[in-house]
Amino acid sequence: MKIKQLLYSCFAMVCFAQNLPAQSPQKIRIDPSQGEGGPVSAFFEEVKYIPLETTPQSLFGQVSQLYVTDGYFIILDYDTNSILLFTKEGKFHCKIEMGNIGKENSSPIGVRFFVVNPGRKEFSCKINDSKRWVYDFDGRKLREENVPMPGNYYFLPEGTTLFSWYSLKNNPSDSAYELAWENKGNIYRRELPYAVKNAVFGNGDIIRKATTHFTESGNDNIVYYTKQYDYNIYRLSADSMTRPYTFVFPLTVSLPSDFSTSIAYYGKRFELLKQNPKFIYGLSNFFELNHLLFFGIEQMGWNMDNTFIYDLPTSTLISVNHIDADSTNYFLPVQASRGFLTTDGVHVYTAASSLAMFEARDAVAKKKVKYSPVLADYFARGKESNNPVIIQLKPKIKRP
Amino acid sequence: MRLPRWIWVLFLAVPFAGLSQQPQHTNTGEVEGIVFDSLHHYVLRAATVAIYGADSTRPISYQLTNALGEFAFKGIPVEIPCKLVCSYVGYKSTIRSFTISRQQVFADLGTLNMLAGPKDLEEVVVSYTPPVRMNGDTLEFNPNAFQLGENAVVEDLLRKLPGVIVWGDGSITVNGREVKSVLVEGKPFFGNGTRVATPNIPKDAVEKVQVYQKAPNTSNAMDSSTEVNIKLKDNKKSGAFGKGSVGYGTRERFDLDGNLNVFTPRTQVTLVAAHNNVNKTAPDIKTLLENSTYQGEGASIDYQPEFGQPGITRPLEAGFSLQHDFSKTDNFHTNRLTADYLFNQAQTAIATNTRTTNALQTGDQLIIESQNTHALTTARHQFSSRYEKKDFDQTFMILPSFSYNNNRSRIVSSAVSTDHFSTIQSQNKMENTNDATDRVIGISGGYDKKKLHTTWSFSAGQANNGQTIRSLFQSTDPAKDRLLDRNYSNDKDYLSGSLAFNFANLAVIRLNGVSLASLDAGAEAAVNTDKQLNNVYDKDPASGDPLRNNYLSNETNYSLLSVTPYVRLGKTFYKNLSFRYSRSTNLYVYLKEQLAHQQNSAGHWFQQFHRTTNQFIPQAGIRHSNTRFGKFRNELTAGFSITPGYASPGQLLALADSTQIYNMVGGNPNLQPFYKREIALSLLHSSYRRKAPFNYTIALKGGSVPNFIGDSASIDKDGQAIHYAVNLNGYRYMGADLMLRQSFNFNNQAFQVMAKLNTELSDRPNYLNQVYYVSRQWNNRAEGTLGYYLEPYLAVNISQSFSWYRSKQDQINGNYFSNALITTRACISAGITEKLTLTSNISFNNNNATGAAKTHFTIWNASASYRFLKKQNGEVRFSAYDLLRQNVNILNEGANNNLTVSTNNALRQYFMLTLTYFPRKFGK
Repeated sequence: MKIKQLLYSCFAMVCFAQNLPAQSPQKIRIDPSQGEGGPVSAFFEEVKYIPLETTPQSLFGQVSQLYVTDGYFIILDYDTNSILLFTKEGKFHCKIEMGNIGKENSSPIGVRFFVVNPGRKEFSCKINDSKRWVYDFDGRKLREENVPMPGNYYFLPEGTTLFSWYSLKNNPSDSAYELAWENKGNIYRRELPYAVKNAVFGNGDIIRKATTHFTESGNDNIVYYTKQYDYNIYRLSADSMTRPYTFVFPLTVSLPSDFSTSIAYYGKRFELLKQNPKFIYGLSNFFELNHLLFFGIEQMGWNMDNTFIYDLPTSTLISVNHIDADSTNYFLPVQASRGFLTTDGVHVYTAASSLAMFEARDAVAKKKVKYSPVLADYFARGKESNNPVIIQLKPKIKRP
Repeated sequence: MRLPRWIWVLFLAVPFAGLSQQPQHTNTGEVEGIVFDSLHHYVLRAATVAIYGADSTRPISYQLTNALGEFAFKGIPVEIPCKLVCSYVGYKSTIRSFTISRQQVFADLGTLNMLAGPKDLEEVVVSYTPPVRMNGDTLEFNPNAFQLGENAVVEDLLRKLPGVIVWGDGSITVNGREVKSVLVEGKPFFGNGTRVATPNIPKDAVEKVQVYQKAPNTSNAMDSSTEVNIKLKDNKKSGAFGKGSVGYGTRERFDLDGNLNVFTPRTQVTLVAAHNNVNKTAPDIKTLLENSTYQGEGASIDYQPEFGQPGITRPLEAGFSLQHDFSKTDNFHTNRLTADYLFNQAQTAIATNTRTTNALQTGDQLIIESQNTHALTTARHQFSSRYEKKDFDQTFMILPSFSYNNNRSRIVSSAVSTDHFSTIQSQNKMENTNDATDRVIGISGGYDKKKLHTTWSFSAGQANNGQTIRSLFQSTDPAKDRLLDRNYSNDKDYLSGSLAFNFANLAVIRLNGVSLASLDAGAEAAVNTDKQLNNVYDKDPASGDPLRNNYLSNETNYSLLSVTPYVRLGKTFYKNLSFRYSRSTNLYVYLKEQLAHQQNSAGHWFQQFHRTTNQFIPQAGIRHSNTRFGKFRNELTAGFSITPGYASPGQLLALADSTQIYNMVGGNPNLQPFYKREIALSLLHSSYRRKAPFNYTIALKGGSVPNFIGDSASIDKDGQAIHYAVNLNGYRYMGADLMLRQSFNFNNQAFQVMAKLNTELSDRPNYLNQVYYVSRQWNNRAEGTLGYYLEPYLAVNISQSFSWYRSKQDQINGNYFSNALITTRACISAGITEKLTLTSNISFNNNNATGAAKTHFTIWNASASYRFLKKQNGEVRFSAYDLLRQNVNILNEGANNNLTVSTNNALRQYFMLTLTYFPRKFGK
């Protein structure tokens, strides 16, 4: 039962009827099909490609989660169920192989996320409902810790840990809220209450999602939180929860207004989303850099326009799919399938497969592009089956 | 891993960016530019760019823009005004006129701005339609943009599309991947498969041809299957097409056939009828439809069945087919009824000369030569139907059917047995008249919901047979001579039923929290009953009165019940490296126990038995797939199985009938079940290469069958033989199948290579006159086919096949039997003009069998057809068959210690004039 609870909490956080802070969020009214585009140089001051060293030891599949520290890229790879650290120059540093951890239920995905504690220069990942292993940045296992609450967690400075947890079946008193703030064993704040054992959601209404719903903001004191069936962005700190933005989409792609509250959808939500694949059922990977909002939308159907940048001063929506490669990025890819993965407060990061990199190079062979030494070496010595390439983009910030 | 669907779109679209349609002129101009959305400030990728002559609506060349929105054409005519048309879903088309000067031979059209708009300008739509475009994740082709004949059909269009191969055997591949079905409006079109829609539907009725991935596998785009859907124009969604054909020829040969097919958005109905005396018999409506298409036979060398069939058959066939959808069909919902009915009546006359050589343990050979005439009249009614209702997570289906068969035959035979000095040992003359009727009604079905999968079936049959056999046997020993005049009346009632259910993923077996295997459980139950009442009377030679034959007259009541519970343990390992490879390995073990009960009650005490057996029949295997992204996919399966087999009622209960003097068969009620042990391995290689894809399949198997049901024969010097089935050890076998094919396409030419190889080596134990022997048999068949197509003018198909059989019986005399049949076939079809087509095919046949004279014969057919009427609905065809008058029908059959070579009468030379009308109305 505990494992199921964990899964539920990992897969989706669904909730309704929250007691939200008395703050009016800014409405971001957008039509995802009308996103603008332009050359990459119009949006980014600099695009840097960092090939990750490919050796038999460092070979991995995809960048499923990325965290950028001062010295390292920390990468979770679902394919090999391992966590790899590369230096900021792309040199392989160390690798932690997780084996079958997380795959006990025949899940194709093992470890679903890791959480960095930047203050302690550690990161950890859950190995079951109640335990997590803690590593340093050299891949050494430091200790095993008990996890006081199930579900996702995120470290804030000065010992505060955020937990998110949603249970359909049980009614533990600590879990009657989706979010909890804990410090030194003391839960001192709860937000997003929900009624457990209600008849509004059935198991079939939960959309499986592997990753955590916390996304780092580039500021260690702030983290963003998103969830399914909800177009709100939640900004969390050690002592507050605010709702800075709420997104409004065209009616044709929006969920019915009572989607998360009406019993009429009990057990039918998944089917309804399959029948209406354009419905946006959630937001993901939200972060804010100055006047720019970076985010993704989640739909059942296929849509290449799924990652966006929103410019607050001009209310301009930019579809990353339509950011066209140009000479400043050597006509190479600027978007990966997972959208923007993280931010360090200055840059945003994504990753591209070597297959995509080589195909992009071949497509513009006639242009005789002069690559940077790093890329020239990568193309000369690498091949399509090499490790992915980290793409570091520095957005153009309009100074007031 | 989740691989985005744009990856497979890339794989579909890239060939069209790189392999744009080649210009029709030998010109040197180049044109470049970028397609841009100036309102939203981005380039348009995969936009369609087509170049037309100023006064033409057929594109000279076309491309999809690349990832940077660029296009670049070469080979464009110079000094000729041209138009470049850009189109993109959701945008208004843009037209740019240009002329390339002979001096510059290059035109940079710069940035072409396109505006999003709800609808294209009407005049642009009418004049310039994009040949190909990406619409979301679907690649769409517009038939109007391709240079096709006025009366072209969808298949002609498919042959024009880059990356699409229409193979000589009718199958279709897109970028190396086989298209499993061609749908029309998202539904099967007059049956599943690809052979009805593509050669019948005119391009004028088609709005677009869509190519897409069915149920894309999100973890690996290359894992999913490719499907083609033909979307009809709004005013063409209903229609009718068919064929009416009358042929008459020399020797009073005639060939009539017709079919009418009517379709609406919800319903499809087919009516068919055929009547001929040229051996054209179709087993079902699907075959009739597939071989009477508007497009015609082309250079097919497979559809020449009438000359390979023994005797002369005069079939009359009629039937109907129905498909109706009660509600709209989509990926998740089906609510469909299909039904087929076919009546078949045929008269066949066969004259056969047979030579059977038997090896005896004395080192001698016994040769039986016979001449038979066989007159057969059959009448058959077949009905089958299927109702299927599918929702998101459950599927229900029910399949009622019935059949009625009546066979009336008269066989007159005269057989002589000789020893190897050609001395006559005996002779037998026989006349056999038979009237047999068989009626079967059946119903089966299935229900799937989530983890539960069930199937069931039930059928009941009744057979009646009235038979008279008169025979005169004469031997060198007059004491053995006898005259028989025997009447039979056999009535049989039989039932069969089965029920199977499976619960998938019932539990997970863990050790220390680690999943070891998933567990399925289920059971299969089957029951078969066979109740026979046989009354046999012999005419008294003296009085002529019928006397009851108390040996052959009997009543039997046989039943076989089996129950097989099982559990299945399975474990799948995945290894995935995004954008590089995806591997999965599935190990499984079936733990099955089969409990079977066989019993028979009969008037003869020696036929009575009942026995219960209990046998562990495990299966185990491995399935491994390895997909290298963009390169190939290999599927390897290997398995071990134990399969039970039970003696048939005939093997158990037959009573030796002295009228079958050279081939009496007796029953053996002591036969025990046998359990076949087999190891099988197969490898399927599917190439994803866009150019010259090379695919192959290799299958190997080997096994042994302890308790094999073999033959125990007693043959005397006169050739009188009686056979009993007996349990024997020592049967083993191994075999291999190989299939490979490759296609090379150049513009409008295609060169295809296909090869097949089948070989099987077996040791079959038997008894001959109480002596145990093993017959080592080796069967081989190899066939290679080369095809060349120059659209639309020429199709050439050449094939070489080789069949070889050899058997050796060491324990008897060490002699061996062998036969070989080598056939070389060639077919050429040439479109002399759009209306006139000449077709000719020729096959050279060489047959060589032990003890028989070598036979060589050549069959040469030729025809000329001319299409007339405005839509070429009319066809007149003159055909000449077997121009060299050499056709014979030879059958070689080897079994254990004997080899039989049969020569049958067959169709011989005739000439036929055929008039055909193809009624066609697509739309109102």
